[in-house]
Amino acid sequence: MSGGAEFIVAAYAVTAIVLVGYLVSLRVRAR
Amino acid sequence: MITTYPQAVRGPRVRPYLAGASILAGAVALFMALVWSPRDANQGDLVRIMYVHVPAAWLAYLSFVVVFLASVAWLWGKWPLADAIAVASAEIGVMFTGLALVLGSIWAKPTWGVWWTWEPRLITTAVMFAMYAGYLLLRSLSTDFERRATRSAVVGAIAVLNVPIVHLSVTWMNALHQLPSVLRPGPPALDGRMLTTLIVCVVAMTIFYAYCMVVRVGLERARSTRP
Repeated sequence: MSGGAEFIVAAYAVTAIVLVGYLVSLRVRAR
Repeated sequence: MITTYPQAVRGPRVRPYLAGASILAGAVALFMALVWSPRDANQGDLVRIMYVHVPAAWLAYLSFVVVFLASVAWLWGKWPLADAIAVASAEIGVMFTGLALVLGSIWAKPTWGVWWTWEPRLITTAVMFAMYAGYLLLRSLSTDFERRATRSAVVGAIAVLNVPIVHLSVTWMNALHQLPSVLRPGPPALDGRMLTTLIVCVVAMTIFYAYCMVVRVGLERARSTRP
């Protein structure tokens, strides 16, 4: 992976954080 | 009865299958997006941001179309399940719209040179995000179930107009954002392997959406039956 790797890492990290964060929020609300 | 709450939250039996399918599809999509798909002739590896940005935008569209259908169903038959589907899809749609905006911004910086610019696709997407965030806020204004469901169904049925406006905004005036590459008249304007990867990523994200919907609708129904 070459030029702009930090942007690609940022995009996939943001996606993972948002999706996992939403799953956690669902789990917390289910309690 | 409080004993009905955990059962309702668990939801139907489809849930574990959706969870498994979501993990499997997500792993395949991630491999294809980061390894299998070729680099773009102009953008290089930056094109890989497309594989998360476009599915997020697609899910935003799909979520709000589902809100529309569920809103019409509520207005038609006053089925509580329709209201639960509408609020669940609106919440998930707001998440995906926000994600599409942030990912678009991350992609814009190295390709356009700016994090944000006031051009039609970005403005209309931001307006769509604000309208559905408003839809969720509207639901907190009334504690009367039927009144709240009817008010929000009217908004949910009208706000779907945002979807074609956002999608077609790039064709109405000279925009910085590129024109539709897949959902357009004629064949997709994408390399074969890129298109395959994009389709797999869209399918994986849609399965994730379906899983979230099953859980979120279960939560909403449990909330409405809680004493």
